[in-house]
Amino acid sequence: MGRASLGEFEHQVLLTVLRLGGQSYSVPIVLELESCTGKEVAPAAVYIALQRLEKRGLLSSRLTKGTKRERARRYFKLRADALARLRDSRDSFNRLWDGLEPLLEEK
Amino acid sequence: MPPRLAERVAKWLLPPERADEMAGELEELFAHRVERDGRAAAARWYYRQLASFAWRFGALRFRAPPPETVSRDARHALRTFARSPGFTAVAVVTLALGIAANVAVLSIVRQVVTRPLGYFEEERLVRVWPEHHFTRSRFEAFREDAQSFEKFSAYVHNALTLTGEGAPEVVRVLEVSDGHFETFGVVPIHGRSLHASDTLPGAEAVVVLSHELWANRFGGSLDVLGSRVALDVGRTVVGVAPPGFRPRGQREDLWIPLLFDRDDDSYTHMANLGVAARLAPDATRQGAREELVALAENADPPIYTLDEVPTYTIAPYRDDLVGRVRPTLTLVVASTALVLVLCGVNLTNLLLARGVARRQELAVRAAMGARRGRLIQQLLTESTVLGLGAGAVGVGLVWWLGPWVLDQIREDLPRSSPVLLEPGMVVLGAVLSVVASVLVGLVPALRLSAADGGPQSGRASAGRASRRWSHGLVAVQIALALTVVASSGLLLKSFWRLRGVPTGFDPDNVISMRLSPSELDYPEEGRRRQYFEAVLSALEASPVVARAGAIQILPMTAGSMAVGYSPTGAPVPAGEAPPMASYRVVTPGYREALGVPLVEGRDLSESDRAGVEAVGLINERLARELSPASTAVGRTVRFENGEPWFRIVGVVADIHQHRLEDEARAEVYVPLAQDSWPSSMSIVARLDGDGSDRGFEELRAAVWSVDRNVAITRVQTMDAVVGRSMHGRRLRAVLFASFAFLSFVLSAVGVYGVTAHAVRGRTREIGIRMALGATRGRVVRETLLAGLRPVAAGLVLGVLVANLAARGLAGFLFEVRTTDPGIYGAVALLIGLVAVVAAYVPTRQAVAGSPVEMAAPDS
Repeated sequence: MGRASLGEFEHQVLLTVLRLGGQSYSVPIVLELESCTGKEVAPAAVYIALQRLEKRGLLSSRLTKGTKRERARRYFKLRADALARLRDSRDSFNRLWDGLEPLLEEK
Repeated sequence: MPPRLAERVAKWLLPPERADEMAGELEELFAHRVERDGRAAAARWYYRQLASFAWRFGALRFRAPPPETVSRDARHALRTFARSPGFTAVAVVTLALGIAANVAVLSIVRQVVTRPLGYFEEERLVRVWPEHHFTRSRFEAFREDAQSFEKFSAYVHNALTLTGEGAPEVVRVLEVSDGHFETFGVVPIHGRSLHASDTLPGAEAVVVLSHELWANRFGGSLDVLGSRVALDVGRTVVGVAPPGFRPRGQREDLWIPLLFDRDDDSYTHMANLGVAARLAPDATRQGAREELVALAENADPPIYTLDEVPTYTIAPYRDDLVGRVRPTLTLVVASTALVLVLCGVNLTNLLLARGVARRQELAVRAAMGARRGRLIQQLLTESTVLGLGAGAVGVGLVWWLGPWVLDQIREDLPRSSPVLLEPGMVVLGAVLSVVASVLVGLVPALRLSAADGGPQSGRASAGRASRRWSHGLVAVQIALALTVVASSGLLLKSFWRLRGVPTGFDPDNVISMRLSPSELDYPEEGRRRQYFEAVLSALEASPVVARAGAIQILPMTAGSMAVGYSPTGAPVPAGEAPPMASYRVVTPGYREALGVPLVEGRDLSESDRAGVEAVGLINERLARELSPASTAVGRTVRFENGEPWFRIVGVVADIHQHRLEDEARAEVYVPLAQDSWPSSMSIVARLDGDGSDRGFEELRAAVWSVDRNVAITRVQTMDAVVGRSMHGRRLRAVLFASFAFLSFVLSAVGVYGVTAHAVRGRTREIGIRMALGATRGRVVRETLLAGLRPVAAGLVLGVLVANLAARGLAGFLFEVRTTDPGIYGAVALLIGLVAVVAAYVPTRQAVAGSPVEMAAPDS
């Protein structure tokens, strides 16, 4: 499935992980996504996206041991492939956007 | 912290291998929400997220199991059920009863309430009610002037005798103004409808036959068009209505033109007039109402006094037709739904108890590598197979018993309802059974497949969680049963109370029958009067009859005639609605035959004839209104216009005119001999002693000795007449009593099952305790107490829930409060006792064996 295109939501999740420094767990991802998109985001949807991205080798994850003060968390980290994919998609979007700005101006 | 309950639910829903981390992270997000949106909003959010987890992960986990596994599971389920036929039968019957009740009830609702009447642009059909009655001039003015209506037509119910070839037959007649058929958008299939010219004085008398009458009595021959039939007068048949045209919901046999009396414009004259109308295409009911009010206010001459505001009700035609049964049907729908829930809870409990016995089988499967999802799938397939079986049995029950049930309640329904089991209802049955079986199977499936039920866990701890569930479900079940039983208790008590209400007369040993001499054979009133007098003397000459009389409208039946009277003696001002007295024409023997006590003065006698002073009896209620202080005997009752009507010669006791729950209204009795238009009469004959078995034969012979050509209809004992007036109430009482019985049985089965299961799991413990010296009595007591704790909780909960539910019943109760402590106490006691017995039987059995055997490890 390697080069299968990213879904819009998966794309957003990847970008969010990048915004959070390339490594994070679900809570900040959900919060950041909500503040960027301005919409309520279902954690379950984020989990599914993260799982799928991990399966496709774009993210890796590790589980921290739970302690008395802090419960177990699963941290996700961008892998090199993911950066390449994001770069590619940005480039192709940029090419598509090229010269279109004037058309979007409000008349 | 998230709500505790929600957290527990979360533990179940989240995929087990990641439940910990997910729950932790959800909790963190929850904390953020609490800070930002407050606790309540956060809790709502949390539940929403749980649903979303269940949906997304559930969908992932259970995505499309391959068809061969499903069919393998189904076959396995069938084999398992075949091995325990007892359990299977109980389970299937339990659910089937619930499904059958719901399918039947929803079918009736669909057929009666929501099914369209089938008329052209039905949404424009309305019924128009004025505040009091229409007057003729008012009706005609509206029909001419109101722009909001495309058609405006009137009808009056009547019954006439059809004579001629074949036996005389009483037919249901609708007298209608012109435009009646057009209002409904119906065109006769043969001939024509009724025109305005048919309603003019001096026009030829015509009739339109119903399709059914035409087919049955006239053989469906077109020759009948233009021929004359013998009705009130000879009438020419001009048309045949299309099949199934029932403008008032019930069968009509024929339609004749409604002739208005040009000289009488009183309310009284039009008291029985109904108005059906078709709104103009762009008109609204609101607009039409305002237009009628405006027309009425500006009427010339004025018809309302200044301080009166004319009001009109314009109801969708279907609502008018079926509205009266809606409260009862709502009640029945709610209670059948409750019964289904009860059945479901019971079945859940049965499955749980049985599942624990199947632990070993499941443990083996898990040990051989079946994952939890797979086990859940298997268990849910089982309950679905069970549910579908129950659905099939349930739909079969409706198909088998439905027509019979429908027959029982036909009289209570405002519309004939030809099909009970439409294809859609079969689908509904299937959907209901699948939904019910999944819901029923969910808890047992999740519980039994849970990790703590796996092979590695010990029996004791595994049982505990299931037992908690069982106990919870028993409590719920008891609460629901108490709700249903208490509701039916309240209805039954109302019914019983009502039966205790004195009718005001003595219905025992009284037979009534209706005689309708044809107006063709008896065109003059004098001859009709003579006919009834001859019949009454023939009856009184009969050895079985003690006293016989006649009345034109039998008490406790629908139908009434009312006349406006003047309470003061002075004319009631024009435009003011006068007080109405229900008015009955009787013969001198009537009062004694029915056993209505005479309170004051004298009874009517044979000497009160035409040509002498007009006299009559009034009831106590009217006597109080006419002369509260002194005796009313000797005074004159006057019509609303102040003209004298008759002199009061006696006062009789109040009787209930229509229904026992209604207060007696003002009533007058005038002698047939002095009435101007005698028509059909009901004969009331009091029989001597116990002559009632031969009674009817004798009565018929006596009646036909006078004229063999008069139809005898509605032969019934007065007891039956009184009983019928309580029909709807009896129906509700019977229906609820059967629900209550079902609930009793279900809760007994539930308590029995759970207790039996609990003690079976503890056989060893009990054996050891007894070996150590505990007496049987003590063990029984303790086990019983443990088993009855959820019952007690259920009873408390049930009283609360039943009390809430009873508020919905308030309108159906008669002299019973919704909080009647006797009912709740008795019902709680009864259910408690049933539960004790249901718990005692298995407990007793459990301690019957020898301690040594019981304490031995499982073989």
